[in-house]
Amino acid sequence: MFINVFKAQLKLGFRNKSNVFWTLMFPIILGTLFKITFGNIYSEYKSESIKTAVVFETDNEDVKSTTKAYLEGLEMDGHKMLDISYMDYDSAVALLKDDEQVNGIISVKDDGRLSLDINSNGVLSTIQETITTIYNQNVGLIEKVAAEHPENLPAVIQTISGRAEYINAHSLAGDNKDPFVSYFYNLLAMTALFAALNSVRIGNNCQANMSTLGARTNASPLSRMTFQAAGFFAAYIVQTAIIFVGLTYMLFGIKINFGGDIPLIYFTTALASFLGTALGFAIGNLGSFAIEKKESILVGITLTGCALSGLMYGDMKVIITEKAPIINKINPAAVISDSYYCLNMFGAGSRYFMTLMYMLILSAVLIALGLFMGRRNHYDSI
Amino acid sequence: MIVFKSFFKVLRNYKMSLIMYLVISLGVIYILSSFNTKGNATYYRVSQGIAVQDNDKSEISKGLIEYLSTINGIKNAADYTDDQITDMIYYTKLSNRLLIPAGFGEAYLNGADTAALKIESTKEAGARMGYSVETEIDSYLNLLSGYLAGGFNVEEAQKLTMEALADNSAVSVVADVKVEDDKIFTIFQMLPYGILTMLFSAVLPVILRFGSMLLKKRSDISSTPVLKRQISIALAAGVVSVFIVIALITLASVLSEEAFTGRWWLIVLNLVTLSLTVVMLVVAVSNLNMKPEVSAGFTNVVGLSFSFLGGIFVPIEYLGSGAKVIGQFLPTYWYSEAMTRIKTGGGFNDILNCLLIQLLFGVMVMGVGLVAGRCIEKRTA
Repeated sequence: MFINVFKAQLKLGFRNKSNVFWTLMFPIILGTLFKITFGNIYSEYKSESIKTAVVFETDNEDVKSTTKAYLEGLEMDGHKMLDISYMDYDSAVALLKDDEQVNGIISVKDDGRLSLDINSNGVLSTIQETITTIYNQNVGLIEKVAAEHPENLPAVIQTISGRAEYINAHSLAGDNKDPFVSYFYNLLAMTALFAALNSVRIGNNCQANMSTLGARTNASPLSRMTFQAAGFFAAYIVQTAIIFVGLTYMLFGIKINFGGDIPLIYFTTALASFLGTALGFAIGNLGSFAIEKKESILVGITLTGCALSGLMYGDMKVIITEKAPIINKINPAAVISDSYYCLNMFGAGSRYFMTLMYMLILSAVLIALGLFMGRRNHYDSI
Repeated sequence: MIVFKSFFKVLRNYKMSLIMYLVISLGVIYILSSFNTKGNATYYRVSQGIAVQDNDKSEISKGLIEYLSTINGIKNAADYTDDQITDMIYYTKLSNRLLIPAGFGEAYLNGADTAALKIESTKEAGARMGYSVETEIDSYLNLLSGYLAGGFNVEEAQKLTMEALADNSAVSVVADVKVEDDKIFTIFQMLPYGILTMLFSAVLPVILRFGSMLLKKRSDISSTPVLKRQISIALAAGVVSVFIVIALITLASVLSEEAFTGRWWLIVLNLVTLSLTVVMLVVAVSNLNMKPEVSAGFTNVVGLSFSFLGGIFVPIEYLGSGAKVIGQFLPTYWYSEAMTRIKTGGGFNDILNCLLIQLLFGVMVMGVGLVAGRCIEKRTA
């Protein structure tokens, strides 16, 4: 009997065209748009040599060679800090104002000091300002020492010329450190939670007062538990198949680097789909009201959860972690997106397995809740 | 009047969607408004978040942390787990995790080879923010060692170094256009998501219900003429839209603590234009003979795609060239463009073409929708 109901529910699930269409279209349409939107942001945000125009406002060759050596010698993690072009001031200003083709203009003055012109504030301007300020302050240092402790001047010059490095730099561990990939995690979380729209009907379909199918199910010798279990597994298989198609498109069609092992990404997605199906199962068994209202509740839970886990604003999840960490523990969307994140940043370690455990526990709680609420419905006896 | 009243009766079924999208929009707006940025009229150093673990606790390390705190937000690394710090670096809430080893200050003062006693800095290797902080540290320590070599004691040298590095008088901003980035812009920038989702999730399904086959046939044989029925639906949809827009403008004005100023009127005009365009879009979609159930999915796709590609969630200047090209065909892009122009001191004439493009989009889409609707109706008749 279980197999018969399972087959029928499987057919019902695949024939629900509207649900199949939207669950499939979310990762395909929005994934493509996200790819177009975020595709280049990280590469531009990554550190490169800063395009800088240098203008000599002096004919003093000593000053010129000293500043040239200083600016060209600046390095960070094995690459030059500044990408320098030498030109006159007017050309430099034109480049600066024309879509910021250079990020700043460093002018070398007659007195050996530097000045910086920028078009807008930002991280690059801050780095250029630090470079300019430290050079000027070295000039100031020499003047100050020459005035107050002239005997120490050679030592000071030696210190300046032998600029020391005090940093031992390490890179953050992890596979793909592009923070914008978290938008794809949240998109997949939303798609997985929309699996609930397929399982929400199970509850109404076994309540005699909610649907004709429910009345027939109740009149049949089939136990409610068998019907619900068969419906649940059928909905799970339908949704997992759909979401796998969407995931495959994202991984191999538009080539999103999720980070981590691909089989584990599929495994995580299968669990996420299980959590989504469980959510729908619980809401479906929540009281006796129209399926449209239950679907509205589901969409509300899913979208609010996704908003809190960073679908609209990427940093939201970390803000919630700081202010109210419990929300991220019980928010299904945050738990799902965190599992992809952990796989990417920490690999298949304890934190990743912890998120999987969270998903399983949340799913178990939701299924138990659904079963408990589903078996409490009684009807007037004729 | 019956149709007009019925519209609101059907709308009651969608009150949950309305409330949900209102809460989501206001929640995101509220959080974003607390991270307001400064304008570009004068130079300022960009502040980063740094987690510091000072195992040295020497005069030198304390001085360094004090200097860094004048520019950046310092957090005590001991208050967080390793995973939390990694999360914050990944999500760019922190740029670096710094570990100052025990004995660093002593080695620094003795002029010993500090190779073995360097400050450990963990950062996202590709990000510029991490380099910015490391440049600040190296600059401070190098200048400090210069003053120490010059014969000043530690306290004097630290004071002189701090004063010297605080001087950024050599920097000037040459931009022709000075941007003043106030709270009102951050808040109103986010409103189109609310308008789009609320109108699509509440008004669209109600109109679709009125257009459903069974209801349409029953209405056709009623005594109410088709034109009167359509006008009633349009009026009711208009009333709902106006109510939503006024509610959002009021809430946004309260949150931004600004109303009835010159730029407020321009921003409101921009928002009203976009709302009108969205209403036209809703009218166009409602002609496509869709089932009311699909409006939830449609709302999600339209709300998110228009917002991301139109520079609502992510500023236009960050978008890739492909995204910018596609975005130019969307009204939200021109809404964002008008906001940028208002932000840079633009007046009505400067934003007029942005408003006209939004309206043009609406008229075109509505025209296409009406023609498509007529074709569908003919085919199904």
